[in-house]
Amino acid sequence: MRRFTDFHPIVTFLYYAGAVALFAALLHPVFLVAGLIIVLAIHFFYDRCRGLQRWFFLMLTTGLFIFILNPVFNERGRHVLFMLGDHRVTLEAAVYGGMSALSIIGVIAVFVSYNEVMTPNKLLFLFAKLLPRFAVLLMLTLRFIPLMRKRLEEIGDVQVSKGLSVHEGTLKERARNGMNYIQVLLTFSLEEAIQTAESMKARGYGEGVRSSYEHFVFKRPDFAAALYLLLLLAVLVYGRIQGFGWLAISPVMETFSFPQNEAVLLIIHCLFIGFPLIVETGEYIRWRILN
Amino acid sequence: MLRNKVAASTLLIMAVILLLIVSAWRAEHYILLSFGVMAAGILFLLARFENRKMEVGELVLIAVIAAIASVGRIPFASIPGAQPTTFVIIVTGLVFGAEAGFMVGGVAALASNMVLGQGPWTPWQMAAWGLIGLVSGLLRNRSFMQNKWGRAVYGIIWGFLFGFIMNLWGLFSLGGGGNTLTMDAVVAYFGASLLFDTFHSIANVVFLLVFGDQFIKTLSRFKRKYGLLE
Repeated sequence: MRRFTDFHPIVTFLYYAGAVALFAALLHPVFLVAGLIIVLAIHFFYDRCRGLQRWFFLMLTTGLFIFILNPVFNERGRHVLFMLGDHRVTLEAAVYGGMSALSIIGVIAVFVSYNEVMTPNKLLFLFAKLLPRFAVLLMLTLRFIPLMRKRLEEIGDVQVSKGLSVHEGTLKERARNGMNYIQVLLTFSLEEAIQTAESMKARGYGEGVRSSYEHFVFKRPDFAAALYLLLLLAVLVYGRIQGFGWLAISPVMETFSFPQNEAVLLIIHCLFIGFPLIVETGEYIRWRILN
Repeated sequence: MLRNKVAASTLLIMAVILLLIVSAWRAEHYILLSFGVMAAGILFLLARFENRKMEVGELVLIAVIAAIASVGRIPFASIPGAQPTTFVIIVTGLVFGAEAGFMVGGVAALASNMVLGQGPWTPWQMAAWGLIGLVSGLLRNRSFMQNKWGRAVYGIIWGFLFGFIMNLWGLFSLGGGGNTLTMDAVVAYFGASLLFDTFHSIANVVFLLVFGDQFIKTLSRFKRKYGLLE
């Protein structure tokens, strides 16, 4: 059974980059709402929206902030909804604020899904092809982060026995102790770093070309998926250049109509954003039939 | 290899120039254009880093400092607004130069977000922290940087500048599509983050004044002892 998470990192990255770009570029209420519903469905399918809950507060406050800020500072527009003192609250500003809020919420929701599917090793795989030394640097840093955490705990245990704690005392004391922890960690780790470097050198790092085990292989389904995504993206870019898929607000808000061309573009938009759902349901059906 | 390097650099510089020209008459797409300029800038520095001759020890050193910069937040969890990441990056730039400063800043941002969760803010964070390291490295021989108080002023400036750079990605939601972005809205939007930026600045100053000399001494001693990144 081939899940969405099993695709080659290039395909996964292409999907997420495209989805973020679509949420940012297609500012049209219908497109945004449709896209957001699909992304929420993907989250529901993946883990019953559990991963999304941690970000819910951020998404809500950012969205609300942007939704309110637009009409407060933007008086332009012909359709005045109501007056607040001598401040005009216009329909245009409210619509734009709403669309921006949906766009930001959509982008964050896509990123939450990205964090679940695009694990660090997939991103490192992409970097390693393009920027090998940077990938090694990133890999070393990622490995050092948990190590440093452990060392900080050890240092903390020793320092507490000397009466230096970061949890007690005045603000000044806590800050000073915290920085002393970092100072100890720095000296400790720098000496250790030389050993790591010597060990890498001894194993021949930097001596000519290295071969490596490739965990990800670009197979035929990956090719088909990449082609599918690229084709849809091309049509969407063409449609956007032709002026479909976004609501013009300035200088004059266009009357809200939904021509046939726009409906076609909406379907393509949904087919792109919904790609993980299509893959998963397709596999689900096939799995059922095969059994 | 050398030809490759020159070609990559020229290509990226041309891309930036092209983006700037386009932005002059298609200002409404500024979010896309500014992202393009930033990406080209980061890639330019990464390509430079990639093609330079480098000791393994220098690579590991940068990784250690970047890891400390991102882990350094933990002991300060009980003090709001305080995080020594910016401080560590400034000190690295001062001791090891512009390129090391940029790499520590960029990698610390990317790696810590790999642990905490990536978002639309990741590239901006990489650029902001990378720039802090880069500028610190470029200014390290100036007279005001030799002075404790000069460094403190520098820390204050970056506390606010960092916040401004981080605010940029949210700007398009205030009127990207049509040219409806007003100065009032920009001021209000940036004002909303001012309190947080002030905390950041205060933390930078305190760290630079109280621990700056000590850290610079530790790193410089290490640099001389092993002859790294000189």
